[in-house]
Amino acid sequence: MKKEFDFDSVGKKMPYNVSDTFFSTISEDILATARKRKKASLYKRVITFSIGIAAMIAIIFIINLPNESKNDVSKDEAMATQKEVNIDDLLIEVPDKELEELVVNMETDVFSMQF
Amino acid sequence: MDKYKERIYWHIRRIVVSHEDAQDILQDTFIKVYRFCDSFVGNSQLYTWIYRIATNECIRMFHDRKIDFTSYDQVSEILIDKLHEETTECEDTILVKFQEAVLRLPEKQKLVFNLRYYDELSYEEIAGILDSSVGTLKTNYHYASEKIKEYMINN
Repeated sequence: MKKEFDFDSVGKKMPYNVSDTFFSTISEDILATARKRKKASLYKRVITFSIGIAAMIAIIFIINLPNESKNDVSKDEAMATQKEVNIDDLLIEVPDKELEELVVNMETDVFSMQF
Repeated sequence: MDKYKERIYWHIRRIVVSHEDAQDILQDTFIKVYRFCDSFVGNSQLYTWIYRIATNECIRMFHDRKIDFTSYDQVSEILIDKLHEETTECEDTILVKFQEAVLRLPEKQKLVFNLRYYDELSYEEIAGILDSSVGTLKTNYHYASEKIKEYMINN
């Protein structure tokens, strides 16, 4: 005849045990841990936010540095070309008589004379 | 929390065996309950929702410890070793043997058996916790009971 096992012989008992005070103190422990974690998470968020801001500032600074100097060079080039164009245009527009006077003035100009 | 802490603790303890682990998981479970209580939609009972979080936390712990949850033989051996460590003072050997039989079950069967046998939850409630159909759960419980009976008779 096949042997049978009766679940009632064990019931709902378990071989584990816990200290008598465990369940009376666990709620407080959980709340304390929750508070601690909340504080830590807030601190972590502040740090992350600060690092993020610092990184953003650094990136903006780095990106802008070479662009600024590049812009300066192109500005100088533009100004130089503009000057050249303007002088040529002016010289073409100056009548021959005035040009002759200008040459004479330059030759007699004390400051432009070479010794 | 006061209403559910004891039954949730024992649910966790039956899965992870160690008291320290059960305590940690109980803490994590209730902290998650507080954090996400706004997202509790109320389709299920509050305690089945807490059971669900607790069960997932247990699975997460095994996962974090790189214990493959699908290879239940490996998990069983680890948990049975723990069971013997934790029950050295227990004189009732039949209780230890019974837990050993439960711990030898495949994971799903073990969860269904514990929730039905110890927590006396309905199959509908267990279905809500384990995301499974009632039919599958009944089959799992039947197989689990048979395996436990067999183990208790033959060992």
